[in-house]
Amino acid sequence: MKILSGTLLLAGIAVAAVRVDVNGGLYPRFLVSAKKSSFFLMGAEATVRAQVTSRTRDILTAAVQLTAGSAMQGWTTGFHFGEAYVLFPTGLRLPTIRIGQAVIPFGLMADYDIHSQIVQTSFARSLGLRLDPGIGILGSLGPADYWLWVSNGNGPYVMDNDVDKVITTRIAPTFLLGDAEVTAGLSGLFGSLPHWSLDSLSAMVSGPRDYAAKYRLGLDNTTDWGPLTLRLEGIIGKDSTLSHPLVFGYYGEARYSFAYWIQALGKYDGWHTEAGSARNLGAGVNLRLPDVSMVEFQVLYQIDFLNTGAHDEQDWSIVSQVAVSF
Amino acid sequence: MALALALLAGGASAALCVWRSPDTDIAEMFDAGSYKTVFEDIDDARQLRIEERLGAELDPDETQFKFFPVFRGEKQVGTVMTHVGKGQFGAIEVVVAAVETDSGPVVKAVRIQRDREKAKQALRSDGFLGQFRGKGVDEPFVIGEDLKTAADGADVASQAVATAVRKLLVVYDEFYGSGRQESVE
Repeated sequence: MKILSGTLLLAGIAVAAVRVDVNGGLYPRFLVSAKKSSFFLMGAEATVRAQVTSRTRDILTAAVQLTAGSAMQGWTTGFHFGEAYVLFPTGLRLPTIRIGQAVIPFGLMADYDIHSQIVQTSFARSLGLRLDPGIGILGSLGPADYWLWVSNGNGPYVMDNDVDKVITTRIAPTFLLGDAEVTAGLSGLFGSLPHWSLDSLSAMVSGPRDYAAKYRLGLDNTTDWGPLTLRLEGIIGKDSTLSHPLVFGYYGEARYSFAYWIQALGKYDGWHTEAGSARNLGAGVNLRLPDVSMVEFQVLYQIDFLNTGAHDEQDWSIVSQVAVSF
Repeated sequence: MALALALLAGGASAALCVWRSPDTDIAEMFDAGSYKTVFEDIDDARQLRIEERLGAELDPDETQFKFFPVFRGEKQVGTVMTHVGKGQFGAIEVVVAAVETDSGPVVKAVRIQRDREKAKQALRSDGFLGQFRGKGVDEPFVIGEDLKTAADGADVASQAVATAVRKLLVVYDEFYGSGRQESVE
């Protein structure tokens, strides 16, 4: 929906056209588990986008994600709400500069927008956040996309509480392999990030109690092979110091599209530390209305496993969502 | 880079498909130096004209279209457009480069950005996409009659691409070509 368009004038000469649009998203959900059942609003949001152009090129694009409401609370709200950044393209074959609060471009997160999905990648356990204020560049070199992002490591809408920064890089070439389109990503990250032990993951909503130097190396793969889409990610790293034991995680997801409007999906992911492991297994279905791409019905059955010295738990839940974008 | 822009696409509608590789596409299609992004809204009158020319209704979410005029220096050398077509197994992201001629806009090149079809290589081959080169806005785009299918069993996907190309040409013509002049008159 267009809300404004016009032309900036300088000394009577048109130097730039400005256009502002607003789009919305609505994500009502219903959850059933062994402990509770509840209707809730995962999110109601708007995205304001401004495009400034000269006669021959884009000058900047700004986007602000505005949250009207969400049942998410505390720290975890910042996983999904708070994108606000400006993109400055510097020219063809040159990097685009990004400044603001944006998704950390590590692993699948850089390419895979899980914001409107029930299924989530393993960022919460591996990094502890998804959105972070910073500055970076992104662009393409031949068949490969690249990202470099320097950020606080404290999540959105928070001043940095130390002098350490988080540096994230990723390079991901895309190529055809027979009838499969393959994207293979290599990511590296280090810096001060929120830290939770596996036993304190359930308290994540109240925010981080301590921070740790995190070192992460990730390999990811997205393959579109006909109706089958595979997403794989493997992460290894260390917390606190390099002398500590390795931590590692993995994510695997398969989606099979039976027709344009229906696809089935399955996923399995895990995060392992010296204290044990937290894993998630899920299977679901996504449905679209035949001629309306703006509405998607999603259902996911999932089981969470937590195995540490203090916990040996297994919880199931069924989540359904109507994702509406307009 | 494309996904960084996904949020900016907001309502992710069929008509607001992200352009994933402008650098590569412009270099190969136009050997040009810059482009800009232009959004155009489809009002009721224009929607009726477009649907009449297409012989089909626009989807409910096709209320905006994006155009990317391409420049070499100060001179516009063409326009790139993107669209999400409905393939047999999922969305097909189509990129169309058009140039103006005395007889109206014609296709300079067509590319597939992303798809979930079984005949991916055939669908992206020059043997299939090359058929669109030079096609004008008033020409038929029917697979099996005017155009060959990309591969046996790929008729739905092939027609989805053809329909997307024709739709973009008609919408372009309504905003910037003879359709616009007729609407003014």
